[in-house]
Amino acid sequence: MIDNDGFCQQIRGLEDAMYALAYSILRNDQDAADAISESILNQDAADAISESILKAYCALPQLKNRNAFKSWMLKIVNNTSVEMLRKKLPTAQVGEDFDIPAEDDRLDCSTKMVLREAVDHLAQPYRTVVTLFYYEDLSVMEISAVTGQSVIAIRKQLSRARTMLRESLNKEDFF
Amino acid sequence: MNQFDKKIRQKAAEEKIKAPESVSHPQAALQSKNHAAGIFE
Repeated sequence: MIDNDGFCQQIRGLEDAMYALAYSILRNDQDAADAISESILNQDAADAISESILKAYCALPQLKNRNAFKSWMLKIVNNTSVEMLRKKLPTAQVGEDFDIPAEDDRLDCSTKMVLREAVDHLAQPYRTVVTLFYYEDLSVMEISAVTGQSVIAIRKQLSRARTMLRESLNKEDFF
Repeated sequence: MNQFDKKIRQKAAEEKIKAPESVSHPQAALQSKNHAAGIFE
Protein backbone atom coordinates (compact mmCIF):
# COMPACT_ATOMS: atom_id res chain seq x y z
CA MET A 1 0.00 0.00 0.00
CA ILE A 2 1.33 3.44 -0.94
CA ASP A 3 1.09 6.11 1.77
CA ASN A 4 0.32 9.77 1.16
CA ASP A 5 3.94 10.83 0.83
CA GLY A 6 4.66 7.96 -1.50
CA PHE A 7 1.63 8.83 -3.60
CA CYS A 8 2.72 12.47 -3.96
CA GLN A 9 6.25 11.41 -4.81
CA GLN A 10 5.07 9.01 -7.50
CA ILE A 11 2.75 11.64 -8.97
CA ARG A 12 5.53 14.21 -9.13
CA GLY A 13 7.68 11.74 -10.99
CA LEU A 14 4.96 11.29 -13.58
CA GLU A 15 3.90 14.86 -14.15
CA ASP A 16 5.59 15.20 -17.55
CA ALA A 17 4.22 11.86 -18.72
CA MET A 18 0.71 12.73 -17.52
CA TYR A 19 0.87 16.07 -19.25
CA ALA A 20 2.20 14.60 -22.50
CA LEU A 21 -0.61 12.05 -22.54
CA ALA A 22 -3.41 14.49 -21.65
CA TYR A 23 -2.06 16.98 -24.19
CA SER A 24 -1.94 14.38 -26.95
CA ILE A 25 -5.57 13.44 -26.36
CA LEU A 26 -7.06 16.86 -25.73
CA ARG A 27 -5.31 18.48 -28.66
CA ASN A 28 -8.08 17.76 -31.13
CA ASP A 29 -7.44 18.17 -34.83
CA GLN A 30 -9.51 21.33 -35.07
CA ASP A 31 -7.30 23.21 -32.61
CA ALA A 32 -5.18 25.87 -34.22
CA ALA A 33 -1.71 26.13 -32.77
CA ASP A 34 -2.15 29.74 -31.75
CA ALA A 35 -1.47 31.15 -28.31
CA ILE A 36 -5.10 31.15 -27.20
CA SER A 37 -5.65 27.54 -28.18
CA GLU A 38 -2.42 26.53 -26.49
CA SER A 39 -3.46 28.31 -23.33
CA ILE A 40 -6.87 26.63 -23.30
CA LEU A 41 -5.26 23.31 -24.11
CA ASN A 42 -2.82 23.65 -21.22
CA GLN A 43 -5.71 24.45 -18.89
CA ASP A 44 -7.67 21.44 -20.16
CA ALA A 45 -4.63 19.23 -19.61
CA ALA A 46 -4.20 20.67 -16.11
CA ASP A 47 -7.86 19.99 -15.34
CA ALA A 48 -7.59 16.43 -16.65
CA ILE A 49 -4.51 15.82 -14.52
CA SER A 50 -6.09 17.30 -11.39
CA GLU A 51 -9.17 15.14 -11.88
CA SER A 52 -7.01 12.10 -12.50
CA ILE A 53 -4.96 12.67 -9.35
CA LEU A 54 -8.13 12.82 -7.30
CA LYS A 55 -9.51 9.67 -8.92
CA ALA A 56 -6.22 7.89 -8.37
CA TYR A 57 -6.09 8.88 -4.73
CA CYS A 58 -9.60 7.59 -4.15
CA ALA A 59 -8.86 4.36 -6.01
CA LEU A 60 -5.42 3.85 -4.46
CA PRO A 61 -6.50 0.99 -2.19
CA GLN A 62 -7.40 -0.97 -5.34
CA LEU A 63 -3.85 -0.79 -6.65
CA LYS A 64 -2.33 -4.14 -5.75
CA ASN A 65 0.99 -3.88 -7.55
CA ARG A 66 3.08 -0.82 -6.70
CA ASN A 67 5.33 -1.50 -9.67
CA ALA A 68 2.38 -0.96 -11.99
CA PHE A 69 1.73 2.54 -10.66
CA LYS A 70 2.85 4.33 -13.84
CA SER A 71 0.61 2.31 -16.18
CA TRP A 72 -2.25 2.48 -13.70
CA MET A 73 -1.96 6.26 -13.32
CA LEU A 74 -1.61 6.87 -17.05
CA LYS A 75 -4.67 4.75 -17.69
CA ILE A 76 -6.65 7.03 -15.37
CA VAL A 77 -5.28 10.11 -17.17
CA ASN A 78 -6.14 8.50 -20.52
CA ASN A 79 -9.72 7.72 -19.51
CA THR A 80 -10.26 11.11 -17.88
CA SER A 81 -8.90 12.97 -20.91
CA VAL A 82 -11.01 10.95 -23.35
CA GLU A 83 -14.06 11.60 -21.18
CA MET A 84 -13.28 15.35 -21.16
CA LEU A 85 -12.83 15.38 -24.93
CA ARG A 86 -16.15 13.64 -25.42
CA LYS A 87 -17.88 16.31 -23.34
CA LYS A 88 -16.02 19.07 -25.14
CA LEU A 89 -16.74 17.71 -28.60
CA PRO A 90 -19.99 15.80 -28.40
CA THR A 91 -20.00 15.06 -32.12
CA ALA A 92 -16.34 14.05 -32.34
CA GLN A 93 -15.48 10.46 -33.14
CA VAL A 94 -13.00 10.07 -30.31
CA GLY A 95 -10.35 7.52 -31.08
CA GLU A 96 -11.48 7.04 -34.65
CA ASP A 97 -8.98 7.22 -37.48
CA PHE A 98 -8.72 10.59 -39.14
CA ASP A 99 -7.16 11.52 -42.43
CA ILE A 100 -3.57 12.64 -42.50
CA PRO A 101 -3.49 16.45 -42.26
CA ALA A 102 -2.84 18.47 -45.37
CA GLU A 103 0.82 18.74 -46.22
CA ASP A 104 0.94 22.51 -45.72
CA ASP A 105 -0.30 22.14 -42.16
CA ARG A 106 2.21 19.56 -41.08
CA LEU A 107 5.47 21.22 -40.30
CA ASP A 108 6.89 24.64 -39.69
CA CYS A 109 10.47 24.76 -40.91
CA SER A 110 11.25 27.73 -38.68
CA THR A 111 11.23 25.68 -35.48
CA LYS A 112 13.77 23.25 -34.14
CA MET A 113 11.12 21.10 -32.50
CA VAL A 114 10.81 19.12 -35.70
CA LEU A 115 9.68 15.85 -34.15
CA ARG A 116 7.30 17.45 -31.68
CA GLU A 117 5.58 19.37 -34.47
CA ALA A 118 5.31 16.27 -36.61
CA VAL A 119 3.79 14.36 -33.70
CA ASP A 120 1.39 17.19 -32.87
CA HIS A 121 0.11 17.06 -36.43
CA LEU A 122 -0.61 13.34 -36.34
CA ALA A 123 -4.26 12.43 -36.03
CA GLN A 124 -5.58 10.30 -33.22
CA PRO A 125 -5.01 7.59 -32.13
CA TYR A 126 -1.50 7.85 -33.61
CA ARG A 127 -0.53 10.95 -31.64
CA THR A 128 -1.18 9.28 -28.30
CA VAL A 129 0.51 6.01 -29.26
CA VAL A 130 3.60 7.83 -30.54
CA THR A 131 3.73 10.02 -27.44
CA LEU A 132 3.63 7.03 -25.11
CA PHE A 133 6.03 4.89 -27.16
CA TYR A 134 8.70 7.40 -28.12
CA TYR A 135 8.47 10.14 -25.49
CA GLU A 136 7.56 8.03 -22.47
CA ASP A 137 9.34 4.82 -23.48
CA LEU A 138 6.32 2.65 -22.79
CA SER A 139 6.22 -0.81 -24.36
CA VAL A 140 3.42 -1.92 -26.66
CA MET A 141 2.04 -4.01 -23.79
CA GLU A 142 2.05 -1.01 -21.45
CA ILE A 143 0.37 1.21 -24.06
CA SER A 144 -2.26 -1.48 -24.47
CA ALA A 145 -2.87 -1.42 -20.72
CA VAL A 146 -3.06 2.39 -20.63
CA THR A 147 -5.40 2.85 -23.60
CA GLY A 148 -7.47 -0.30 -23.16
CA GLN A 149 -6.83 -1.35 -26.76
CA SER A 150 -5.44 -4.69 -27.84
CA VAL A 151 -1.73 -5.25 -28.36
CA ILE A 152 -2.42 -6.00 -32.02
CA ALA A 153 -4.28 -2.72 -32.45
CA ILE A 154 -1.44 -0.79 -30.83
CA ARG A 155 1.13 -2.49 -33.08
CA LYS A 156 -0.91 -1.55 -36.16
CA GLN A 157 -1.30 2.04 -34.99
CA LEU A 158 2.40 2.28 -34.27
CA SER A 159 3.24 0.90 -37.69
CA ARG A 160 1.01 3.43 -39.44
CA ALA A 161 2.33 6.21 -37.24
CA ARG A 162 5.91 5.31 -38.22
CA THR A 163 4.98 5.58 -41.91
CA MET A 164 3.38 8.98 -41.40
CA LEU A 165 6.23 10.24 -39.25
CA ARG A 166 8.84 9.02 -41.72
CA GLU A 167 7.02 10.76 -44.55
CA SER A 168 6.79 14.03 -42.64
CA LEU A 169 10.32 13.96 -41.30
CA ASN A 170 11.84 13.05 -44.66
CA LYS A 171 10.61 16.38 -45.95
CA GLU A 172 12.60 18.07 -43.22
CA ASP A 173 15.82 16.18 -43.93
CA PHE A 174 15.50 14.70 -40.49
CA PHE A 175 17.35 11.51 -41.34
CA MET B 1 14.39 -1.92 -31.73
CA ASN B 2 15.12 -0.73 -35.27
CA GLN B 3 17.20 2.27 -36.27
CA PHE B 4 14.16 4.41 -36.95
CA ASP B 5 12.78 3.83 -33.46
CA LYS B 6 16.17 4.50 -31.87
CA LYS B 7 16.54 7.75 -33.76
CA ILE B 8 13.03 8.92 -32.90
CA ARG B 9 13.43 8.02 -29.22
CA GLN B 10 16.72 9.88 -29.13
CA LYS B 11 15.13 12.95 -30.68
CA ALA B 12 12.12 12.61 -28.37
CA ALA B 13 14.46 12.68 -25.39
CA GLU B 14 16.00 15.89 -26.72
CA GLU B 15 12.56 17.42 -27.25
CA LYS B 16 11.13 16.02 -24.02
CA ILE B 17 7.60 17.18 -23.34
CA LYS B 18 7.62 19.12 -20.09
CA ALA B 19 4.53 19.89 -18.07
CA PRO B 20 4.03 23.59 -17.35
CA GLU B 21 4.62 24.36 -13.68
CA SER B 22 0.93 25.00 -13.13
CA VAL B 23 -0.16 21.63 -14.44
CA SER B 24 0.57 19.17 -11.72
CA HIS B 25 0.82 19.52 -8.01
CA PRO B 26 -0.70 16.62 -6.11
CA GLN B 27 -1.74 18.46 -2.97
CA ALA B 28 -3.17 21.39 -4.91
CA ALA B 29 -5.04 19.04 -7.23
CA LEU B 30 -6.70 17.29 -4.33
CA GLN B 31 -7.42 20.40 -2.32
CA SER B 32 -8.80 22.30 -5.30
CA LYS B 33 -11.56 19.76 -5.58
CA ASN B 34 -12.55 20.27 -1.97
CA HIS B 35 -12.74 16.53 -1.65
CA ALA B 36 -9.66 15.87 0.29
CA ALA B 37 -8.47 19.11 1.82
CA GLY B 38 -6.18 18.35 4.69
CA ILE B 39 -5.33 14.86 3.55
CA PHE B 40 -1.78 15.91 2.94
CA GLU B 41 -0.06 17.76 5.74
